[in-house]
Amino acid sequence: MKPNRIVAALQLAPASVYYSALFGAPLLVLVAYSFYTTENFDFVPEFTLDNYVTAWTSEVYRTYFIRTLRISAITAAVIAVVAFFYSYVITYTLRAHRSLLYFFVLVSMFGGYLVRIYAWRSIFGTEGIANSALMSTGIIAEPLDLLRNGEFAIIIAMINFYLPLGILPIYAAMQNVGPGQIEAAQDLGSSRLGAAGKIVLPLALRGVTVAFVFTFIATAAEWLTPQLLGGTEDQMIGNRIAYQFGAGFDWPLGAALAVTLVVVLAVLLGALFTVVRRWVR
Amino acid sequence: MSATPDSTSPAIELVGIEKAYGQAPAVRHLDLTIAQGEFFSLLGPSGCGKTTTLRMMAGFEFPDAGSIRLDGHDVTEVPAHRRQVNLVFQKYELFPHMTVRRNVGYGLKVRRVPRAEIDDRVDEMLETVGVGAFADRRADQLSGGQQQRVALARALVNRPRALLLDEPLSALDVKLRKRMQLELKSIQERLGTTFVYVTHDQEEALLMSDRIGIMNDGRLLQVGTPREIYGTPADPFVADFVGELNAFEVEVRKVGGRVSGVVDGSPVDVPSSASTGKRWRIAVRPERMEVGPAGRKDALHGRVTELNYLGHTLQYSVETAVGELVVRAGAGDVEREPGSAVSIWWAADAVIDLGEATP
Repeated sequence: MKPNRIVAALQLAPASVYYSALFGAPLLVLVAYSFYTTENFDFVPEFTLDNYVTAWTSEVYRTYFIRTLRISAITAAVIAVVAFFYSYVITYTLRAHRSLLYFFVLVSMFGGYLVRIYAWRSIFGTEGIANSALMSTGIIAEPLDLLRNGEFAIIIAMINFYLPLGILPIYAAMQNVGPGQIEAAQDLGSSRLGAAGKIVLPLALRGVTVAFVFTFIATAAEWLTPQLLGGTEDQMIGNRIAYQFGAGFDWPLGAALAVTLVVVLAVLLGALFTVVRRWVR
Repeated sequence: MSATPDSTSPAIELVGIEKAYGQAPAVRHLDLTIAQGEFFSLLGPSGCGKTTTLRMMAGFEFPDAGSIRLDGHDVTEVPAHRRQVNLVFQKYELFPHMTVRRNVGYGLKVRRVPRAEIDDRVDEMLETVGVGAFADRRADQLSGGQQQRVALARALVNRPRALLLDEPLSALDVKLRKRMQLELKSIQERLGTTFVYVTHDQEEALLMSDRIGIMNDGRLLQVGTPREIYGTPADPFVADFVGELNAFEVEVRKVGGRVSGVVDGSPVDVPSSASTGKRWRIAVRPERMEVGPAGRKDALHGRVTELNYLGHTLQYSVETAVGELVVRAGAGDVEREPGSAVSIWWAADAVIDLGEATP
């Protein structure tokens, strides 16, 4: 090996060792488990595809997968749009205050998950702050279903948790587009909004895609938020996986569900990247 | 395809423009009229308000007071994207994710010009500015000079009522800059478009412009042809900023029936405005001064302290009674070595009037 290759290998070593030992290896174990057979609440290393058959054909799990992808897609899309405009404003419109506004993004991550999830729990629910406030002001007479625990509550809370994860890559991508390029577009007849769509968005699209993908993956794997805000009905696939590894005592099925989720995400996001790359060209 | 004006109105009129940023005034009571088809330069040091003035013409800044008219129409409050002028930015500001062709066609596409017409006009303009061969390259794969030409094409293809240029050549190396100056001038003459050109480079302004406006400290000090600006500067700042200057004071007296300035016992010409008994400030350009053997009558006397060979000229520093003067002579002239005594004189029309000396 050439000396600079050796240096590069050494530089890569900590991350590679960490990920192969603590992520790659467990993932392989998980994949192996997904082909095991369950007998009397225990599993034996006997090859079977039954777990995947259940994971892919069961009406119940399909409902969970579809709900999960719907919740994650909506959350990630809302975050991408909100994060784009937030980054736009702090990069261009309020340029003078951008350090402070960027700091606010980081501050919003300080709160800690538990404090925030219990805050959201007190807001949503039949007797939650949202419903009681609206009822006491007379705007509504009965508690709104929308503000009870369920999909809407999960989405709103997850937008709160993951918005910083969306802002960071978009903000970083926008630093490559100078205010002068926006002025150039305006000079050529674009409105501010037109310039944002035709110049800033394509140039920051990589960042927007990364923001969408990060938040999509993170929310699709969520189980605590839906457990605490989803009520009895609107659980996500993460809850089913957690159940199979816990009270359900069916690790092979849980593993098959987890592997299926990883594969579905990989296929969907691969397709997204391909489309985006085509579109930019 | 010259841009024929709609009207006989001036291309751009600025009337009583005031602009301040917070407490700091940027432009003070500026009146300016730019004629159709004119190559007009705004010249001044950095921070003089020339770029602010240009950006007000473009619609990126709005005056605190006064009005802006384009072809006779008031556009004072019209934002940039609805003004029929285009700006060539100092840093070009091309769109890096688009090809040259798409960059140049951007303005036409936004204005919903039919596709076929866009293609024709873009191709024609790319040929005009000499980048036809790079039409399908991405903008970020071009050299500085090529980017400059694309930026020019992107603005001109829209057939603006006036083209505004903000120090467009400042990022290029000297040789390329000189070539682009001549090319810009010839493109302007060919298209007949009004150009408003902001620069701090006086040579550039003198070379290219039909008229020049000199700005300092937010004020427009003088507007005139390059000859007027250089030959008869209206203001000490203008005189000093444009070209080099030997400025000094003389005593105005009647000598032999003529009003003359007296320096070192010798009479020299003074402007007709000078009144006897006063001290007057006058100036003479280095190349308008003549240097010759000592002892000449009606001349300044001095001693050469330095002789520099500049290729096409000889440059002397001469110590005289009014201070050190810089004199330039043709390289073919007799060389006068440092230490030698010389006479310095000049023609009456070489004198620049800087007004009565303040004690």
